[in-house]
This record gives sequence, structure tokens and C-alpha cells, in this order.
Amino acid sequence: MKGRPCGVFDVRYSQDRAILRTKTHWALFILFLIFLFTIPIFLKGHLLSLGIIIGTTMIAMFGAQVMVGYTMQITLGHAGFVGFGAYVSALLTHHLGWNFFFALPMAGLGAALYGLIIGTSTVRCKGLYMVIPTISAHFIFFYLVNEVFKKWTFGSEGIQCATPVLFGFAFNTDFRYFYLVAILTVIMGLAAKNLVRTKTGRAFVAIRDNDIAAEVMGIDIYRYKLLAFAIGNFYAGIGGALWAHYVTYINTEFFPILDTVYYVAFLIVGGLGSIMGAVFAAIFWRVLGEGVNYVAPILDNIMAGTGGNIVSSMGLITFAVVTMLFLIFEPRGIAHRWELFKQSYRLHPFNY
Amino acid sequence: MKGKILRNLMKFFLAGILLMALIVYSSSAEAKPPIRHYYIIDLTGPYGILVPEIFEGTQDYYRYVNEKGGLDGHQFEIPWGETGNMMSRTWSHYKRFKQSGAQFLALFSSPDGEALKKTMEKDGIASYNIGQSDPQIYPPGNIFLDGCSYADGFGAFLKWAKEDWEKKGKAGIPKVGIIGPDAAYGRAATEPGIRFGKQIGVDVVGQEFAPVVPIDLTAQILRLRDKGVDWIWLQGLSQISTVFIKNFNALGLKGKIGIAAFWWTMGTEMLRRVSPEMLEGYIFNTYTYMEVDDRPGIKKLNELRMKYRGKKLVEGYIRGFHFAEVVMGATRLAYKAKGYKGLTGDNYIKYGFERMKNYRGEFDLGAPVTIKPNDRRASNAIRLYQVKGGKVLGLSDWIEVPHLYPPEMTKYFGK
Repeated sequence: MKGRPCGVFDVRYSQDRAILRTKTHWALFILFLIFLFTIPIFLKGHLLSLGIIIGTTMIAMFGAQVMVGYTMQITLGHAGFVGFGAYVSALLTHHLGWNFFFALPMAGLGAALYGLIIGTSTVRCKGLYMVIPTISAHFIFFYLVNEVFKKWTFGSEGIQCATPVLFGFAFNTDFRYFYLVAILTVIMGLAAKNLVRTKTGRAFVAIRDNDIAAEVMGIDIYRYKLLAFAIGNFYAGIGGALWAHYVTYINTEFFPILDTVYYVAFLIVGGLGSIMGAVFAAIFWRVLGEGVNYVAPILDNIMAGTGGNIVSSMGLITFAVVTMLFLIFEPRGIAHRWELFKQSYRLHPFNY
Repeated sequence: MKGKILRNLMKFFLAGILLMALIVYSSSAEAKPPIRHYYIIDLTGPYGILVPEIFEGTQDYYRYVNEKGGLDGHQFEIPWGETGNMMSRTWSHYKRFKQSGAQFLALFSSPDGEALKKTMEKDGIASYNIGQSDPQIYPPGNIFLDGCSYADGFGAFLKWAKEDWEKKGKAGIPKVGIIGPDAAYGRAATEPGIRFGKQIGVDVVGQEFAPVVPIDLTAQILRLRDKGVDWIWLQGLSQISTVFIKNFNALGLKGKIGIAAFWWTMGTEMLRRVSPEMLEGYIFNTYTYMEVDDRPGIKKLNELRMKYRGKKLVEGYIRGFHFAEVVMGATRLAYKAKGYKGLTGDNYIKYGFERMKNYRGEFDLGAPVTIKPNDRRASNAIRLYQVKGGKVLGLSDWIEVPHLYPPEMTKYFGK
């Protein structure tokens, strides 16, 4: 009964399975949806743009969470997988004239397929050893785009990505695009939340906690590890495609190796092994980045124009310090604090 | 008695406040609104090795102009954002600046320009970039390049190499190989260079790719050696050229194959990073003068940097200063034609950049700036420098660069 509101008991399996258990849950969820879909009316361009970037990052972060947080398949190739999905969608819309909404699932499937191919060799490794093969996925992606398929991708010159259009309605403003991203983020988030509660999700968790024990229990480790790769990268591909068609142009420099590090680092900050952790991770990453962007020039002015020398490293230092502080003081991330808050709230007025 | 003193003190106090308020009011009434040039720069990404000094030069130019009263009483402000070469941050800054009413945006990297090209055209924002890759200006849009493009600069070197080859009476044609990263600027010279090489009789054998920050380039150098190159052209930042020089010397190729490089390898910086003996004969091109040039503008700039920063002049600072000087030239023209309220993106382009003819600026730090219709290059000339006896020396005067636009752009420029 841990984590249930006081006096709430399940008497049917459907109640036990429900994500939203009480009327309060439903009310809060509806309020959240109202907030999410009315906020663009009050936000101006830049904050809307930030919201879109957070949304696309969040979708990719759900994928990273499935791979790292739930199955402990440490990936340092996530930016490459995001890029792969972005390119699949860009190529289909640019060369074949596909509608974005048909290209979008293909972007996810393309990235999932790429993940499966990489995964076949990667899943033989465990823990930190997985870093090397997954990081190679990032460089293979660069090579494929800039060399092998240069004729279609235009190499480092980059490729234009069409604005999404649905029944003649173009998502060509931040206001419109926000809704597209928000809807998909909610759907993908709920899907991820459900996934980890299924038999497959529990197999992922079993492999993460002890793969030998999982195998003894009859879980096909190879299959489930590959599945985690495919699902995680499907999310990465969708996030990448949404991002690509928002900025309307991509080249490989849009997917730097440092992003890959940030995906994992901020997953730790957000909280491993929880979908809310991925939500917090994406928000924290992007908002912290914005904060640094605002503060650095102000500091530069105060320091009488150091040419950015002193403040230039602020972003890197801040990100690194935040990650280290979380590792030391709250290794279970913001999601754990969120859980503690929820539990204490639910137990109110009792403190035990 | 006490009450009288207090009353007098109060009167003085109130009079003081009134006076202060009057001063503040009159000064604010007289102060003209600032002109804002927005900057998106990479200080912590791969360009972080160059940009801090360049941006110092840019900031100091604005400081210098503001100290002299600004433009017709309008002071300049330069809000900036740092990207770390991450497009999400570039995008975020762009949106923020656009929301603040930006009409002019200065960029410090080719990928940023390439990414924002279409959007800036849609939003009517004018831009000037110190990263000079081709896709930003073909087809011509709202981005202008400081100097010529990387491809044009390489073309000028090929022309020089061909002439030098013939002058020395060598048989056959010179062979040139390229080493550069797999990035917008790293590949910029290759395809146009091969095309132009065929025209003038230079065999550009292709490119060997290197990481932006390499550890070893032996394999790349050996592959080019095996292709029988006479010259290796470096199209990477100074992280690449530093490693290259070390490997090149270790292989005993010094004197057997010539080395030439584009301007962002930072020729004089290299002298600080590797021993001058290793660099002997190293040639590089640039669209600005160097600190070694005996020119009044360079001397004046040296004094200015000493005054503002307490440091000696370096080439990055010169380019940053020159960059801002060209931007200021365009701003002055647009302001003269359309006034403060007319400083819109379109007017920056039509009445500013596109009207620049033989512009040299107060400091005269680079090739004269002349912008022709549809041509988004600020100049069409480069100078060559060479390391000799541990010093950087001028090898040529201004050389006109060939205009190596892509074949599909003939509708803009003719054949």
C-alpha cells in the first residue's frame, strides 16, 4: 500500500493497474492538461521555443530512460540515434515528398532499426563497457550522413526539413508547433509510463537489477536487451524528427557528442528508473542552460568585458557541478525528492 | 533653534533631491535610445580556441565607438549569447533576440549561419558572419560574410601555387591534398577547389578527414604523401594544424611537401604552440592585415588593446575588431539613409551592406569592402603570409580571389 493516499484501497485489478487512481488524480491530470494547452496563449516567442525544445528533449529522454534507467544499457550514442531519426524524416520529406506525419513514425522505426543493429554487438557488453560500442554508434551515424549517403544527405552542407502540414494546416509558427510537440510528448510519456509497468518493462527492470537472476527466472536477456535498445531509440528518433522539422534545417553538427553526455548526466539529475525522472531531466537541462545563457553576459558586463574569457566556461562548469552535486547528495535524482514529497503529502496528517 | 536647523536641513535635502531629479530627467531626455547588435557566439565549443580573442576585439570596437559618442548620439549595446556550438542553444538565443526586436544579428560560426539562413530570411533579420562557408551565401539571402568564402580563399592559394610552380620551371602540374574536419568549414574548400583546380591546371587530389580536436594525423599525412602531393592544405582550426605540424615533422616530410592553411589555423598563434623551426615555410592566407604589418591602423590598434586589456595585439583580436568595423560601416550607411527607426533588417541589407563600396574603416585592417548586388562576400581579396626564420612575413600583397560559387548559382552571377 506504499504511496497510496490515505484510505484508498484497491478492490479490483483494474484499480490496481490504473495510473490515475483517484478522483484527485484525475482532477490534477485534467488541470495539468488545461495548463499545458493554455500556456502558449500567455507565453511569448522565446519561451514557447524553449517549451518546444524541452518537449523534443523529453521524448528523447524517455528513450534514454528506458535504455539506461530501466535496463541499465548505458548509452553514449543517444545524440547519434536522435540524429538518425531526424535524418530519416528529413530524407523522406525532402526527397520522396512524404508528409511529415508519415515520416515521423518512420523516423522512430529507422532509429529503432539502427539501434537494433548497433545493439546486436552492444548487448554482449555490460555496464560501463557498453560505452565504447554505443559511442561508436554516434560516429558511425556521422560517417553514414557525411560519406556513405552524402548524395542524399548533402553531407555537412545539411538538409532542409519541411514544415509539418496536416490536412492543409501548417505547423509553421511556434504557437502551432508547441501544440504538436505537447500532444506527442504527453502521448509518448504515457506510453513509456505504461511500458515500464508491463511484462516487458518488468523484464527490463529485472535485467537491470540482476541479469543472472533474470535469466534464471526465464527472461531472454538478449531479446529484452535488444528490445530496450529498439524502444529507447524509437523515442530518440521521434524526438530527433520533431526537433529537425522545428528548426527546418539540420546537419551533423546539430547532434554533438556532448549532447550524448548530457543525456546521461541529466538523467542522473532527473532520476534514473522513473519516467518522471526523464521529465525532470529534460526540464532541468534546458532551463539550466537558459539560466546560464542569461547570467553569463550579465556577469561579463559586470566584469568589464573580459571577452567572455571568465564567464565562457560557465555553462560547462555549471552543468558539471550540478551533476556532481546530485551524484554526491541525491544520486536518486529529483524524481526521488518528488516521490518523497508525494508520499508525505498523501500520508498527511499522519507522519508515518 | 533646533527646529530651525532641522527645517533648513530639510529644505536643503529637498532642494538636492529636486536638483538630482532635474539632472536625471534632463540627461535621460537628451539620451538617445541605444542601437543593439545581437551576437551569437561559441566560446566553449570547438571554436572556443579562437572566439574569446576575436570577441574581445569586437567588444573593444564598440567600446571605442561608444567612447567617441556612438552613432549620432546613439550608444551601441551588444547583447550576446553563448552556444558551445550546440544548435539548441543557438536556436534559443535566436528566438530570444528576435523577441527583443533584433534587426541585425552577428554570428561567429558557419554552422549557425547555415542553420539560421532560411529562418532569418523569413523573419527579415540581417546578419554578418565571421564563419565563411558557402551554403550561407548561395543562394544569396540575408547573411553577409566577413572577407571572402573559404572556397575562394583556397582558390586564390591554388592560383598562387600554380604561378609559383611555373615560375620555378617545374614539370607537370602541382598536386594539392586537403586535411580538414568533417564539418561545414572543414569541407568548404574541397569540392570547389577540385573544380577550380581542373580549370587552372592544379590537381586537387581530395580530402583526408580529421577530428576537430585530433590526437594524431600520421595516417592522413601518409595517405596524402602516397598520392604524391606537393602541397597539403589545412582546412581546420589550430587544434588540427598544431597536431599536423608535429606529425609532419616527425615523419621527416619538412621541405619535401609544402604546407599551406586557411586563416583560422591562426598563423602567428601557431608560433606560440609549436617550435618556430617546425613551422618554417608554413604559408597561410587571410583577409585582414596581421600584427606584424607596419601599418598605422595596426599600431593604433596595438595601443588600444594595451589600453583596454593590457595585452599585445594578436590576429584574432584584429579580425574581431575588423568584423565590428565592417558592421559599423553598414550600420552608418543604413542610419544615414533611413535614420534610427529605419534600422530594420531589410534596410541593413539594402541601404547598409549592399551600398558598401571600397570601405576601409578608420583602422583600415583588411581588404577594402565592396559588396556587389547578390554577392554576399564583404571582400574579394586575400593576402598570403609565410613563416620564415621564426617570424611571420608577408608573402604577397592583396590577391584577388576567384569567385567559386556552385554551378547552380550561375543565374545570379553569370558563367
